Amino acid sequence: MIAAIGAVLVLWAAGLLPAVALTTDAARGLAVAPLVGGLLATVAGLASVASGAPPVPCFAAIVVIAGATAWRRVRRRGTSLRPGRLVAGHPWWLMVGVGVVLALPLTVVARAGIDWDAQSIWSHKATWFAEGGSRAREAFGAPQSAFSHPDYPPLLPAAAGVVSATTGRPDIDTSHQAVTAALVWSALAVLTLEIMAVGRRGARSWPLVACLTSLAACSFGALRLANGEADALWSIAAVAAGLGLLRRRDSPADLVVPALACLVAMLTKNEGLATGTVIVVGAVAVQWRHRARWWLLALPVASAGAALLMRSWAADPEPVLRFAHETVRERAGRAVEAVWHVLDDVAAPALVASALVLAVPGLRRRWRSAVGAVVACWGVVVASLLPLIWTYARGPHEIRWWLATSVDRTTIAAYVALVVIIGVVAGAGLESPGPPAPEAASEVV
Amino acid sequence: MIALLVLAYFASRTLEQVESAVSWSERSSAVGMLSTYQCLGDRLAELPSGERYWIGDPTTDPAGEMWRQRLVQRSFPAVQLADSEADATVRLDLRSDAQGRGCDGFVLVATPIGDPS
Repeated sequence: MIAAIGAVLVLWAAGLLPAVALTTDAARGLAVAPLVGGLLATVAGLASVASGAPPVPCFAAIVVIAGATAWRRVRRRGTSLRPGRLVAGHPWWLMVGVGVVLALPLTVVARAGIDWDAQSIWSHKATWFAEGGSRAREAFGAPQSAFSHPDYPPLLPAAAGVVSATTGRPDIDTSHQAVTAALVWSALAVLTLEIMAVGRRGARSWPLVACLTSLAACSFGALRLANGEADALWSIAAVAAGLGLLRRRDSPADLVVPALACLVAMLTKNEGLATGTVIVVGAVAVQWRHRARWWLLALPVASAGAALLMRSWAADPEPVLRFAHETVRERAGRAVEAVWHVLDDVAAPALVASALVLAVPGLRRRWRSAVGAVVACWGVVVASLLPLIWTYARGPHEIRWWLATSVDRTTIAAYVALVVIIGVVAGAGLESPGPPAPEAASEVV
Repeated sequence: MIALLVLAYFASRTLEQVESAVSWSERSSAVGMLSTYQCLGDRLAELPSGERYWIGDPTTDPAGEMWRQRLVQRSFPAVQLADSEADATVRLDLRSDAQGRGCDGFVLVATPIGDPS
């Protein structure tokens, strides 16, 4: 228990100041801090293995540099660190309540054990990052390590390993689960903030609808939130990113938090890298005229760089036999069937909700705020499912076994996006017409 | 309002899943293959030493790739595996059992294949 609390506190503390500087308010910074802390720990983990230096000094140096830069930015901008500031037009106590409700599904961490793959793939590699330096490099390159997929993206094992090393390396499985749960909570909080951003600023119904939506989105399987796997994290982060980036946004500042979420998705799993890349390309296309926003393209480049670095350290993967007796078409057909079987209960109401918003002219005008969000969510569904079906169709494993052991977790992003469609339509339907909320300058209570 | 009810339904499903979550040891059936792995691991542990084993599933995994990686190398490294089928002294076929006997419907069938030299 102490290992878990220590790991979460270190993650939060490391990311807090940079998160406040990036999001420009303390309460939103609290929500994003674990993701930022996870990204800083990832940079530290990679730097440690690449340079041969121990992980804790690397982490300390990176946190100090990021914190000092953030502090200068906070002072220059005059960002308020007082809790009385409103968040997106809502009082801080309401947002704290939302944060507490979002933690409810994660209470399962107290009972869920670490999963099979979570242990052999993610937590096992976290021990290498906790060791750091040349010994970690040896572990990555050892042929007997091939089962642990050393070439997979670094965020989860690096964050868990570096944070665990910082807390004195207690039980690493427990630290890994706690870090994963904190990152998932943060991704859920970002998703909730992005759903709220769909509505009119300050509209009272949106925090409640957004919170209910995020809670509903976790119905893909609450155990997966806290069993140490990477799938829930990248999926929720990718949906938050898609919802924030694939809509027209007035201010460049609106892109910062979803861009962070996108980076987390891409650095967490290969599926996240593929989905995040499609989202970024779509976002640049949507914001094509704003050339100053093309910096988004740096996200997949940086993530692919991290993935290539991991690959360069990893031992050659064991050869995997191809099953030539199945055609690509047969495999794709089986994959589509299995994906639909997982998604059908949320896809049906999401399709009805989308049809209402997009095809009924009166509703399209009245629920204008939902139109862009619904299209963005469908963008995420496509961005996550196309690479997935392609992988199942062209991949090496026997397709029935592969689908049976993975399809319920590889489709989480699409599942969450479909639930969010229902949520934004519910939110738009409840939003009462009224004057726009006051601007940020008059929001300090 | 209907959309809100749908959300409430899915949110209640989440809370139900949290409520009904049980500990790792109690939920082996929920994680599918794990109980199978553990059961097959017990059978592997009973195998006589001094042999070099080749393990495969004649239907889906004739070269043993999947089972070597997932079952033996990860959790039961004491089982001595041959580098190839030609180098093995005993072939272990993992077969599905129509009556569901063995480990969740999987049985290991050992067939001596002699000294490859």
